[in-house]
Amino acid sequence: MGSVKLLNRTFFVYIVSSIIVLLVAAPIFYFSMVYLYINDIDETLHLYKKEFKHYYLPNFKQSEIESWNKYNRDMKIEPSDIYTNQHTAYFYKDFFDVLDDEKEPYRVMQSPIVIENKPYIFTARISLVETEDLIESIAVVFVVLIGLLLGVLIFVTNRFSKKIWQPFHSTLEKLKSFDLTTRQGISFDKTNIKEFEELNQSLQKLIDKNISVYNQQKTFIENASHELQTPLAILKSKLNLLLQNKNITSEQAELLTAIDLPLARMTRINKNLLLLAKIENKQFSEVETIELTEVINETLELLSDYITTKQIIVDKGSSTSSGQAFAEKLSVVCNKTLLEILVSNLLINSIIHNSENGKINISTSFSADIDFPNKTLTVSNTGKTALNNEKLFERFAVASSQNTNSGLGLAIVKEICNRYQWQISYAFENGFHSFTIKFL
Amino acid sequence: MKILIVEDEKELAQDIVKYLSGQNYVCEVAETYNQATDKISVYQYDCILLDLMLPDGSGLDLLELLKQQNKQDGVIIISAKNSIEDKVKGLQIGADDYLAKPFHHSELSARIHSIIRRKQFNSSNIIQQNEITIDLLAKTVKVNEFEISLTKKELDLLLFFIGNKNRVISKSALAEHLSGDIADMFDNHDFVYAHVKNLKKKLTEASYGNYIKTIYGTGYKWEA
Repeated sequence: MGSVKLLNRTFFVYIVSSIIVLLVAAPIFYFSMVYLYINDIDETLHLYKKEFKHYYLPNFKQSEIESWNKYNRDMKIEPSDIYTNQHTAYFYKDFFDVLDDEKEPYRVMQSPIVIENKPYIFTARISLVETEDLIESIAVVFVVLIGLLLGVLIFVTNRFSKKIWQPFHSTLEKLKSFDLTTRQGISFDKTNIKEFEELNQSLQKLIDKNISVYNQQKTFIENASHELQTPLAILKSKLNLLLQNKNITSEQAELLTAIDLPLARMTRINKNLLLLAKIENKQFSEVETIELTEVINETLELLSDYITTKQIIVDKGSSTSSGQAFAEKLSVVCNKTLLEILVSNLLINSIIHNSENGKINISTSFSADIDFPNKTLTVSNTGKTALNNEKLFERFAVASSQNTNSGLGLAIVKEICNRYQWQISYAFENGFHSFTIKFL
Repeated sequence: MKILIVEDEKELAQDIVKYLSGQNYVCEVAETYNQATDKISVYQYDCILLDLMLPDGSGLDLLELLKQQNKQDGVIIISAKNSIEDKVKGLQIGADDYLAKPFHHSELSARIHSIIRRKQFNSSNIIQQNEITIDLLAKTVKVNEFEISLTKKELDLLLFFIGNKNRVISKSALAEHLSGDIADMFDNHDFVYAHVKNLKKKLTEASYGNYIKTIYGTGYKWEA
């Protein structure tokens, strides 16, 4: 379903209704014109008759009829046998026009007269404009008129709607840039159009409410995960004590391991939730200049055991497809802890979701353009199918039964990027999942 | 070796006591700020485990108190708070180490071990265990006077085992000790097995007794 601009929709309605008006009005207009015209002609014909009867008839001789008929093209006197025809008749008749070489429509009036006690019929006729010509002219006038009207309408609407809708567009722009996670409210521009003012006020209320709910929720998550730390610690220590039991059977030991795994997962989720809340609460405020490549190398060192276990090949720079490089110096200004978390989460992600003997490519790029200083980090790893780009960075979006990761790693990465207005994007190309971060 | 556990969560305190007692530490517990100040003022401890959030005061105040009284007790902060700020503050005031909850007992034990070692054998730094001699400063390991070369991780592992002798240490605890917090993010800790295997092999080759026992796939135990 494509959406149409409000203005275009209005124009469409205008055009359709204009066409309907034209279609309905044209015949009405035509017939009333014809009616008025014929009426007028009949009156003229009637006048001819009256003139004839008044000026000529009293002294008219039968012998004059021939010459009258000869010199009057449109008025004839013809003999009639019928005395009784007392009524004047009006009717249409086509006459052959020798000059035009075609039949032309005429309005004809026939009236009985008496010349020297003999009945005659006085016939007068007036040529009518050809009906097609009339219809054509009317149609042209109509189209021109409607077109003019529509043009003016469109022009005026266009001109004024821009001004009238301006507050609406400004509200829309503000809504588009609104991000709940920043917890910054919006202040709308004042407008003197009542509907827009109401809209703005309702939106303001909605947003304020949302922010407050969001804050409550975040506080709740933070408190909840904080409160969970201690019971988790107790569980962990109890489990450990149980493990120290000398009489433990292999069956029990297996059970203990089975408990240990979900417990570790719970600890991990809890830890990450707490971390997310802390990032959102802007608890990592101090900022410094950090060498990105150093952080990457340190993190790789920390992860080396896990990389070796899965026999993953880590390739820095000589990326497979895009031929990107690994810039030796690439400094980023941010909080060091956050950058470390970001890098390690990306790398951990690329290890966990990698296959045995898979590959990890890490590349950084730097363009020293003064206007667009462009620093990027790309981490890609072998994969089978593309991930859902939309849900990827949502919390718990990728957590499923088959995967025991916390489902928060990428949400944390995204949150850190949000924090510094860095852009993160995901692509699946040539069997590689790639995450690219653009440091701005 | 005497240890004071300042922790208001009874269960957790008791578990720690249980674990550490098994390693021949003498443990005492203080559940409130006031109890802790009493004990600190009267006794000398080799190590104090300090929870920051106490029902009637802050653990950080206890640290200040220790400093005022010029006490030399080693202090490890154990707290559910694990923000950098808290850590830095605690360490600045005078704690020796900081361990965020939840932690493995074995990790705690290793850290206690290391603090006591630092405090009490600061010049010698020699650890003797059966036929093995470890020089912490030179980072050398000798078995019956024959030096064997261990990687940093293997040495770490060895010290961890010795610090937790006769205790079962789970694979995840070992992974956490070797890789730090990052280990939390993985479920598969198979690399531990590889390191333990290498360590075992090197020790056996130097005709050291087989003290590292595998416990039903859940973990390992150093039996001495």
